[in-house]
Amino acid sequence: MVKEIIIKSLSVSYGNKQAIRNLSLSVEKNEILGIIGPTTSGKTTLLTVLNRMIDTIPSVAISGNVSMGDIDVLTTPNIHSLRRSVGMIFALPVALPMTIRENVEYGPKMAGEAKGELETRVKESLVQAGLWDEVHDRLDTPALKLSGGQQQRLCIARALALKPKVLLLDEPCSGLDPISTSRIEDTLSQLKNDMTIILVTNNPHQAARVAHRTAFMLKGELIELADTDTLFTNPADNRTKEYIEGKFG
Amino acid sequence: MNFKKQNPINQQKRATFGLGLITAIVVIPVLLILGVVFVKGISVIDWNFLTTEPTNGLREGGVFPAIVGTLILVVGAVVWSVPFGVATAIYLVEYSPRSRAANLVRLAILNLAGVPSVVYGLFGLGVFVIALKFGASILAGTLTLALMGLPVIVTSTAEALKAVPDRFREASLALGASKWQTTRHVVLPNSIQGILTGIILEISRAGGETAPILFTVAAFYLPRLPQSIFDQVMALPMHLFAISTQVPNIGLDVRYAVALTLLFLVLGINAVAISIRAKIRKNRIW
Repeated sequence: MVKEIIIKSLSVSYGNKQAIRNLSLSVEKNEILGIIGPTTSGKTTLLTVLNRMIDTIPSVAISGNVSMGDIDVLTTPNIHSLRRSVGMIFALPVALPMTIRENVEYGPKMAGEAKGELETRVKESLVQAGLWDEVHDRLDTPALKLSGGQQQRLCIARALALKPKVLLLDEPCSGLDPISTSRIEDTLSQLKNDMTIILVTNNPHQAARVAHRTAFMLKGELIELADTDTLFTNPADNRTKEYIEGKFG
Repeated sequence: MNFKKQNPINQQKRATFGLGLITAIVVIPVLLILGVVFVKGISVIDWNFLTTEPTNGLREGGVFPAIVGTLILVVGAVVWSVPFGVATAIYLVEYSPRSRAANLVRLAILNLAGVPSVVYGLFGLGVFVIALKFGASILAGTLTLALMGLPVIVTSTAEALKAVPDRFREASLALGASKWQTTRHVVLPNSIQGILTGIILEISRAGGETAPILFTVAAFYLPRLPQSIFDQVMALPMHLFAISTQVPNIGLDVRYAVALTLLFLVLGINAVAISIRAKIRKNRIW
C-alpha cells in the first residue's frame, strides 16, 4: 500500500496541557481511517495538525514529523496550498453566509481558478457530495437556508471543489439525524476512490460502518490501530475493549 | 406563600409600563424640540430661502451656499474618515496581536471620542491650516471633521467585525484562503451594517458641529459656491451661530428656519444611509 501520510512521534501541547503524546501512525492512500476515542483524547487536535489549522490557536507547541508525499506538513511555508489539498469538515456545518454556488466556488476562486472552470467544478463537487439533485435548481439561494444535513454535505462539496488529496472530517455527523448521517456515510464510501479520508468520530458504530482501519485514542495517546473488524471484534488492548463496550466514554 | 405577588403576568405588565414611561420621558423632549423648531421656522422656509444667497449682511435672502457647504463638509468628512477608520479597525481586530500595545491603541481611540470638538478645531487650525498651509479651506475643514469622526467609525467597525462569528473565518481559512481574502470576502461583507451605523452617526455629528469648522473652513459670509477644495464655504451651523450672535435685528423665525433646514438636511443624508442599511439587513441571512 502507498502511504499518503506518515506521522512520526508527534507531540502537541497547549501551554502546559499536553494534547497529543508521541503519536506515530501512517495513513494509506484511498483508505478511510476512523479515529475513535472519548473527548479530550486528542482526535481533533490531530486533524488540525494535518492541515495546519492548528496555527490559528495561540501558544501551541508542536514537535515531531508529519509528511504527506514530499510535503513536510509541519514546516511547509505554503499553508494555503496545503489546506487546499487537505480539506477539513468541522463538527457543526459552517455554510458561509452567501449563496450555495458561491460557497462551492469559494475555495477555487480564492486559489485563483479561472472563471470558466467554476461552473463545471460546482456541479461535479455537488454531485460527488450527493447534494446536486436537491439543490441544482436553487444554486443562487442562500446556503444558510439549507437543512443541517444539507449544509454539511455542502461543506463537503466545498472542500471537494479544491480537488483535495485528503479529506479530514471532525465528527461530521454529531449534529445530524440518522438519515442525514447515513447519506454522508454513503458519500464517504464513494469518495474514498478518489482520496484518502480520515474520519474522527465519537460514535464507534460509525467507524465500524465505514472505516477500513480504526485507531483508538485516549488522553493524547494512540492506544491501538487495526483493521476495523479486528479492532471491534478482538481488540488487543483492554482499554479499547472497554471503550467499545461503552464502559466509559 | 403569596403567589399573587409573584404573578409573572403582573410583573410583565409593570415592566412594560415602566419601560414605556421611561422611553416617553426620553422621547418627549426630543419631539418638543423638533416641534418648536418646526413650528417657528417653517413659515420662513420657501423655495427662495433654500435656493438663493444671503443678502443685506445676512439679514435677507436665503441659505443656499450654506446648504451646499454643509453637504460638502459632511461628504468630505465621510470620504476621508471611512477608509482610514475601517482600515484601522480591520488592523486592530483581525491583524494586531492581542498585546498590551494594541489595547493601548484601542483605549486611545476610544478616548478620542471624548475630546471636545473645539480642541479638534484648534488642532485642525494648527496642523492643516497653518503647518500644512492648506489655509482655511474645504480640505482643512473636512480633514478636521474626519479626525473628529474617526473614533466612532473605528469603534463601530471594530464591533461589527467582532460580531462576525469565528467559525466563518475558520471555514474560509480551512479552504486555503489567506487572512486578507477571509477579511475581504467573508468578514467585511458581513460587517457593512455596523460600518453604516458608524457613518450615520458621523454624518449627524459632522453636519451639526460648529467648533471644528470655525477656524478651518467656515466662512461668515461668502455668497458664492466654492470652486476648489482650497476654497472656504459657508455652513449651516456656522451660519446659525453667526446670525444669532453677530448680526443684530434678525427675526427669531429666520434662526429657527436655518436650524430646521439643517435638521432636514442631516435627516435626508441619513435617510439614504439608513435605507441602504435596511436593504442590507433584509438580505442578511444569519
